[in-house]
Amino acid sequence: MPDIRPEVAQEIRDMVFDFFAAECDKDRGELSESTNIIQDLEGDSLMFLSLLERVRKRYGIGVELKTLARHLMKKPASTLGQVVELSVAIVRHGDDIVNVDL
Amino acid sequence: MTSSTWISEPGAPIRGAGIDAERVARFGAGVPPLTLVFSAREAGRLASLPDPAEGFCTSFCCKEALFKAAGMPIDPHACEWVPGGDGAAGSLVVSPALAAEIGAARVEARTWRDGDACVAVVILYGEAP
Repeated sequence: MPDIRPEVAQEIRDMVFDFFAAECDKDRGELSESTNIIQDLEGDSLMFLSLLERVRKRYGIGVELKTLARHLMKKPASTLGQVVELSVAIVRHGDDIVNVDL
Repeated sequence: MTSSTWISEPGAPIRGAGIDAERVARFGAGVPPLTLVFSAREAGRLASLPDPAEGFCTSFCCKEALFKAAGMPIDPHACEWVPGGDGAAGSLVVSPALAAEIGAARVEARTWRDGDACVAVVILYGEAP
């Protein structure tokens, strides 16, 4: 599988942080890798899906929601850092993400 | 607060139940339909409703409630909320393949508007003995 260029990984990180800052009406500086999406930001599944949709469209990834859900059952994404890691993995592996041991 | 009475048909075992609620405004104009959740066909149908935001919101809540009732990942494109006509209640249509996958002989969904939110309750029934 091709690796992700550092600048693309940074772009994905910025996308995730900017998204939650805007959705949750927070200053970007208030957010960190350990920020909990539900407890700290009152995030929910709809918000998470909206972000994943953006990642899919931005990078032309065709991964299905059922595949993502199976992956999340194995490796939940509760913090912004984990969401960044998931988003990078989606771009890197696409539908094969369910078989990847992160 | 809203209260509701729902009499279910006796005899068939309940395999699962799920509930979800979302604010309609989150599906308002300017918010593109999530292709992860809505097929092109369903999105086109919901967009043509007199109140598309409520339609998308109701459908999303149904799919979330179904996922919770099933207790396992599902393909949201394999189920669609079909609005009723002339004031009739809509229905959640689940593909035969999805119904078999989640072990449901019958799927019942009830939806209603509660202030600025839509609420959906989904119950999965197994085969009647």
